[in-house]
Formats: sequence, C-alpha cells, structure tokens
Amino acid sequence: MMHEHPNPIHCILPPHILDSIKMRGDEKMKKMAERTEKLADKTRSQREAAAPEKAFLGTPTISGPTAPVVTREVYNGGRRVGLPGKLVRAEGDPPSRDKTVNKVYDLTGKVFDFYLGAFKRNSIDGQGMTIISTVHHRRKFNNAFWNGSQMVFGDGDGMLFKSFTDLSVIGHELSHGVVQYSGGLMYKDQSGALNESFADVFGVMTVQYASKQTASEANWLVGEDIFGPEVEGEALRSLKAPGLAYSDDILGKDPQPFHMDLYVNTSSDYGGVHINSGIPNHAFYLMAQYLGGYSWEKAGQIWYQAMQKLNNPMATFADWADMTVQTAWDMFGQGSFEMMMTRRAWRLVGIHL
Amino acid sequence: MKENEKRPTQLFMRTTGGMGVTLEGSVDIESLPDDLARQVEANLTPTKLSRVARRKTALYMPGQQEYEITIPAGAQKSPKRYAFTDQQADPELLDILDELTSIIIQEKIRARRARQQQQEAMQAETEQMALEEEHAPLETPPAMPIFGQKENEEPPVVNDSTKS
Repeated sequence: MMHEHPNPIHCILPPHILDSIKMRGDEKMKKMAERTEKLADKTRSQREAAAPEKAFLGTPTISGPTAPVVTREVYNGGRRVGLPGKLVRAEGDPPSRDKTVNKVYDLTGKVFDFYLGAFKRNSIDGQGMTIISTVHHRRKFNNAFWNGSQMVFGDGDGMLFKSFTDLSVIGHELSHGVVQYSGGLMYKDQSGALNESFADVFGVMTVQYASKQTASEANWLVGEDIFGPEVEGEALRSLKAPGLAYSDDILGKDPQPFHMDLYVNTSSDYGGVHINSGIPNHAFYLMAQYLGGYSWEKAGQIWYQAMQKLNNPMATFADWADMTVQTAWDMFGQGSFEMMMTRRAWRLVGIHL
Repeated sequence: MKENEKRPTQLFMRTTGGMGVTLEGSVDIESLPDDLARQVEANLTPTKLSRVARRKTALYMPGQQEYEITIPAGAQKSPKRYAFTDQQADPELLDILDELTSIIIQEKIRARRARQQQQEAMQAETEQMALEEEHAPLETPPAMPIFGQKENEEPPVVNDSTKS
C-alpha cells in the first residue's frame, strides 16, 4: 500500500498564510500554496476520519527541573504591509535604538512571565514557541492584531491612537495565540466574542500580575494608554463597566453591553465580536470580585482551565459559562464557594445555568 | 478601469473590526492630492473591488480590519458596496486605505475643531451680552400713553376741584 508523506511544513501552515502567499507571493509561491492547500485539505479529511471523538488534548503544563525561558524576536515592519519585516532584536540582544522595539521586547517578556508564573504555560503554544512581534506595521495604522503566527502593531495615526504597545494590548494579542493553541474559537458571533473576551480577560490580568494588584485594586481597563489627544475616553474597553470606556464624537460611544438583555445582533465586526464580549468580560470581573484577592489565583485559574478543556470552537456563551462552572466544580468541589460564585456571576449577566 | 465604468467622484468608507472601533466617513476624490487621487481612481474601481471582495479568506486572524467601500452610482442606480478584510486586500490597496483613513480622521478632527470654535464664539458672545446687560445704565421707561390719548397730544388736564 502506498503511503503519502506530506511535507510537515505544509501541514503546519495555517490557511490564512496560504491565502496570503497566493495573494502576495510570486507565481512559484502561488503554485506551491495551491498545492499545499489541496494536500492539507486531503490530510485534514484523513485526520478527521481517523481521530476519535474528544481526541483534543489540553496544552501541557510545565514539569521537570529545567525552567522554561522566553524566546522573543521583534521585527521592524518599515511601515509596509509585508510581514514580518526586518529582525531588529532577538532574544538576548542588547537594546535597540528604537524605543518601540525595546518596549515590545520587554512587555512580551512580561506576558510570557504571566503565563508561566500563573498557569505554568510555556509560551503561546505551551511548548516554548518563539514570540514574534512586528512593530511599525503599515502607515498610520490604527490597529494591533494576531495573524495566526505572530503579533503585529501599528504606530497609530497620532491623533486618535498614539500607540498600541500597551501591556494590556500585548497581553490581549498574545492571548489570541493562546486560544488558538488551546483548541481555538471560531472568530465569529458568540464564539468570536468569547475569543475576544478571553483575550481581554488575560490582557487585564497580565497588567494586574505585573503590578501585583488585587481584583479590587485594579482598574480593569484594556488599552488605557493607547488613545491619542483627540479622544474623549479612558480606555478601549472596561471589564468593570462595559459600555462606559469612551464616548467620543469621532469614535462614537463604547458599544459593549454588560447583560444578555442588551446583546447586540449585528453582521458587522464578525457578528459583534468586540461588542458582545462585554458580557463574558463582565461575568469574569464579577467573579473575580466575589472571589477576592489576586484575579489569577482563582478566577483566572477557572477561566484558563476551562479554555484548556472546552474543545468546542463554536462554543456559545452558555457553553462557555457551563464549562467554567464545571471547571470550578472540578477544581474546588461541588457546592464550593468558587463554584457558586461562578454561577452567580453568569446569572448576573443574564446567563442562567 | 473598464471604458463603461464612470469615474466616481466620491466614496464612503467604513472600517470595523480591528481593535473594535468603528470609523466611517466620505472622501471627495477630487479634493485628494493628485497622486493619491490617481491611485484611488486606479485601484478603487468596481471591477477591482469586487475581485478583492470575492477572494477567499482564512478562518482565523483575530483583530484584522474589515473595510466597506460604498461607491455612489448615479441618481437612477443604487450605490455599490464592497466589503473585504485586511487579508483579502493587496498591499497597494491597503496603503491607499490607510491614507484615506488618515484623511477621514483629519477631516473629522478639523470639523470638530470648527464646531468647538463656533460654540466658543457663541458662548463668548452670550457672555459679552450678559456682561453688557449687567453694566448698562438703568433707563427711564417711556411714559405709558393714557387710554384714549392721541399721539402727540398733551395729556388732558385733570380738574382737581380740591385745589381751588
């Protein structure tokens, strides 16, 4: 019997990378991408047919005597579209002359420390993956994103946005990678909003961990330092008060709801992924307040372990809420204070279990 | 551009996704710098935009931006709307969209400053009027005409018999 041995690189390449190669590469690369895509489809079908149900395994946690070390690479995008750009600072290199490069280098280290210290997770994939960042992406680009394999930061236009290299934003973007390597959540509708919410929750926890703030001391803001001088608002989002982070005549009003009664049905923003994430965000905030102390010690553990076990890329808010309550039960016991408070937090945002 | 495609003079642009902030505004193509106007005319045509919008997208790229470009199509036709993401667009198109976004933001900020100046001017005028009113000398109110008295007529002499 003939066996195919697909090139392992082909199997690793995510679909959007192939799309980018097809779109932006030369003819040879386009053909390679098309061939890879066909092969990947075939391999995926074979894998799905062979895999038993619930075959998903959570990300391994650290064990053994050797402490994991961070590996970072920061690139300069040169205000162009192409990624990753020119490597400016690799792990262990002396500081660059570019302050943004150094800031991202330092802050990605803090996010690595947070995941390792609080959750024993070795980098984005749990296996020591190199943390790649590109700064100075595009011209006056008002965005930061995770593209499936690296983080990308624009410089902002200087008026509405002055920078995207805020610790909560870097924690947010890197957490999209954690979601991806924890089974993933489709970036659309409620599962997309859960993806955004997980990134927000772990983004604010990164800040709290770095400054050793308790749940009651923290401000629970995402993107506190990114707005430029022309914006009326304190941050991009607030987990404490969704809908009240900003109100500006150019950006409009923060559209986040805090309760299911205010859920926004929309086709834009991938089905309101940045809007309805306010609901699970607020549930986490409430739970962290009830449980007290440092958010990553109990509330964060419940959220993190629930993500490792979820195994449902199309999860709804109710699925996720159910998983967090189940996880609290597993971790702290049936009828425990932690489990009851997790359920109560969900009830207060309109999700009854 | 195809020969039968009329050059648009204006377009409407809306950006969503990204960090979750929506930004929208219209762009008057004729008022753009020449070089940018040429690039817009060459790249933001219905043919090219519909090709971009049809491109297959990947499933996972959290935080990428979505663009909606609406091009008016004359009085009798409905406007054409094209929606696509960062991943679907060519680098050249993304450069143009970044420039247009920046122009929309600058225009909005200019409009806001103009509104603020107008409000400040009105506020200053109101305060000035209040100040003037406060310091104006008290005027003797004009004498009220007596009922039945004609204009320019001396008031009638009241015959007070008690004085005699």
